Amino acid sequence: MLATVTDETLVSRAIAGSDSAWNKLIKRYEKRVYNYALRMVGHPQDAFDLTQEVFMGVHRNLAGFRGDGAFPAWLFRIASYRCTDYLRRRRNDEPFDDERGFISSLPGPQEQAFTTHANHQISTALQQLPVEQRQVVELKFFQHFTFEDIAGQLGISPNTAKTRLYSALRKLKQHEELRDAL
Amino acid sequence: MLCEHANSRLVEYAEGVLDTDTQLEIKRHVEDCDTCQSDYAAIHQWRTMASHWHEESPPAQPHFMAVTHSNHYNWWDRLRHWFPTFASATALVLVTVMYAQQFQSAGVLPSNAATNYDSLPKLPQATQAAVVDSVLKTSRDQRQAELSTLLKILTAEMNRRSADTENSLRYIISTQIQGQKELDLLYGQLEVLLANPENTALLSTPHEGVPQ
Ligand SMILES: [Zn+2]
Repeated sequence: MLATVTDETLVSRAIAGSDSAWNKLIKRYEKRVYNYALRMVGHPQDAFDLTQEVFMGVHRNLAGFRGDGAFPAWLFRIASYRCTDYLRRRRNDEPFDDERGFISSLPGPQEQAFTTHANHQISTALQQLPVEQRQVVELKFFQHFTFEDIAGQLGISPNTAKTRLYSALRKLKQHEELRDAL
Repeated sequence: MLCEHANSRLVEYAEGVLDTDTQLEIKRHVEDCDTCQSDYAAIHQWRTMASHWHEESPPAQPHFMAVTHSNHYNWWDRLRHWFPTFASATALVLVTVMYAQQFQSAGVLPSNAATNYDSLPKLPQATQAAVVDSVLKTSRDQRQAELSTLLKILTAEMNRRSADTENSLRYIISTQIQGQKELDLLYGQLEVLLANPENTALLSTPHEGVPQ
């Protein structure tokens, strides 16, 4: 069986200027990042744009990866930052309601944008959440990070991460139309 | 076990990562507590739902590819659609050209500009085109030669990229990074040019020397 080159090795080769190592690194994570982006923003084209921005950010900060933690945890720190920035830029154009926060003027995720009905339902449910809560749900249930990892990725305390997750769970339970999806 | 102790560890409980005794204690508590039962059910449902996510592939023919082939967009619009980062950097370069002479002594141009334009103030995305337009108009009197050279380079670069038909995510990302490197180079050259306003020969195209 062929030994897989570690992320750390690919990173150091990429820093040293190897395009092939960099391409391998993208290939290894592009689907994971794209699917993350898709669940976070709800639209394939936006997800595509965001994925590019994430990898641009990864490339720019590659030398800052110390290898003292797992590469995915570090990657998703950049992804979270880029995603927050992306959604902030997008919602600048959207109306604000004192009680509900920013209300998306864009249509919700479209069924035909997803390969399965379940994907569409999951995406619709996630879009009901404020970005801060959506991020924790994503990083916990889809990326399986620990609360310590999530705290590091979002620049908050593990307790805050937990509180946001519980708020998200309770908010979604209240949503009648989402009960079926859940 | 107190409800607050059990409740705050329901996710770890669902993941099964706690020690055996704690798992058992929480299990007993959840059986008798409505709040924890309801929270646990929601956690369990999300975990199940996440496991049902079917991995999607990035779109093979992104929408913005169509934009680059439309006659309704000029090169600047194409640039903005293709390369958001590239576009902000370009706007910054143009603005810098415009103002550098006035502010150079005040230290607006970073000493290591070639790698450092990220630290310059970001322009709001929506106003970039307007800013560049106004910079172009105002600058025509003073720095027409430099700006038109710069525009020729950027236009040629955009045409080259629009002509490329590959559109995989990896290709686009590596092209963006290449664009970033070229901008670094361009930015460095502009800085030299600003220091020696008479010498336009210093401004070369990013692909100088590469056979086409
Ligand atoms: Zn309880």
